[in-house]
Amino acid sequence: MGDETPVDLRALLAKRNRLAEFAALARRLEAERAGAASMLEHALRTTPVERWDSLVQRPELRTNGTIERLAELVNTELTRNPRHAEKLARFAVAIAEKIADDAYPRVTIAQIRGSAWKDYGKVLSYLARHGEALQSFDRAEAALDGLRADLAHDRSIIHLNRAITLSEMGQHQQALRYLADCGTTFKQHGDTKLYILSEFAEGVVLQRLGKYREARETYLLLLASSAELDRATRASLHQDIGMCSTELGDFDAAGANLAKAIALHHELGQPIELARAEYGRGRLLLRKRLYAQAVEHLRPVRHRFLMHSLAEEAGLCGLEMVEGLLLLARAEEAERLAQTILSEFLAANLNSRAITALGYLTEAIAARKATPKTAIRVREYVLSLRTSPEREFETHD
Amino acid sequence: MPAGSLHVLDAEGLYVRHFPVLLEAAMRKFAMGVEEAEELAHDVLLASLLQQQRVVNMDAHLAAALDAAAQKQRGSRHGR
Repeated sequence: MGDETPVDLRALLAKRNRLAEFAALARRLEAERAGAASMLEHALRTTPVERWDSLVQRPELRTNGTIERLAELVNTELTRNPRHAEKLARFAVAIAEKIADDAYPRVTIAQIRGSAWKDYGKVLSYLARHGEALQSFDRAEAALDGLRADLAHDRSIIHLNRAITLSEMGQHQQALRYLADCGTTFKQHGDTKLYILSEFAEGVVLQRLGKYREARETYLLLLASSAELDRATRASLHQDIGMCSTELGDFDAAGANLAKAIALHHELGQPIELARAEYGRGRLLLRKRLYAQAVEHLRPVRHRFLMHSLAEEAGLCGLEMVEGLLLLARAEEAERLAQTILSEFLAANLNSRAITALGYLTEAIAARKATPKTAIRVREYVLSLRTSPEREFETHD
Repeated sequence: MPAGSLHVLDAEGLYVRHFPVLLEAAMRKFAMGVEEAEELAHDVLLASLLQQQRVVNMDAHLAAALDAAAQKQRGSRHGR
């Protein structure tokens, strides 16, 4: 009986055919990858965005190579130009859905479609279109259904993105459940990079929940783990450990970790991350009640955010300064700064609710009715609009 | 060679090295018949072609992928 022998003749013959199929697929994927970049970029460059739909009809573009190349472009564009990234990701989904069901083995088709929908969801999440993002992740998971083999690794990549979206929506507990599961899967599958990312994401969710001690513990464990961390990840970990330590009142640890983060961001040439870490240092000075130092420290940091067109972060940084100025009883300066932030928010066309809250703060300072707490409340409200853009501002203290 | 691509000879080597191990694991650990075990091992290896750029330890990756796949298969068989 064949079932009693681990590898019999029948199995060996089958293996040969399967080996040929596997080698042919490997060869094909490699050839497609090699040709995809130039072919795709030429097609995208010579076709207006509104006519990209027509490119879906070109059989030479209906390949995994195209999908992988588009995924790379989406990742590059995501932080630079998210609206363009959305167009690219939507195009990838259209291509993936147009690839014939029998163009690749069934499992490969499922992976291609799952990956394209996952990337589209990731971009939608970045654009704060969270509901649509979750629908895309549903489509990504549905693509993986009905296979003989459960693609646990591919599914966990979708779960990681779903968790990040859920956390953005304020559904932190659900996010933590997904992160715990996918972290285990990545570890078991030897995917160090995504294991680190899922652990890191867990820390971020805990930090958002105000569980600074647990968040810091998660970051410290990651930093002390045997996992190979690149310098950018180390810099981010030190930064977040510093931020958590500030909130915990552990100012020595906060200062030491923020200094390490700043040095690493500087070495890596990451100006925006560097500004964020310096913002953390300004916040630390404020918590240490070194108000004048904090205000002077944050002034150039705010300008750096503005130089990079990050009006919201410049505003949040400015609101820390307003708090400091009010604590120093420098109400006139605080009023001028609040007015400036308000103008910047208007110019950048930010959420109208944030503008209302800033208007309230400006008027309160002008009437000399604002306290440092008013500035804190407005800053926390503006920050909360990232996850709850429809939340109303309550004017009473 | 672009990042993540697998040379054909490497691909064949990977298959020849891992297919019998996965096949035997599926049969022994999950009490599958040869045919079912072969299909599962083959699917796990096919899937690895699009996953291998992320994977540091291919042995661990394939073993975990087979475990997850076999558990699902066993679950759906019992669920029928």
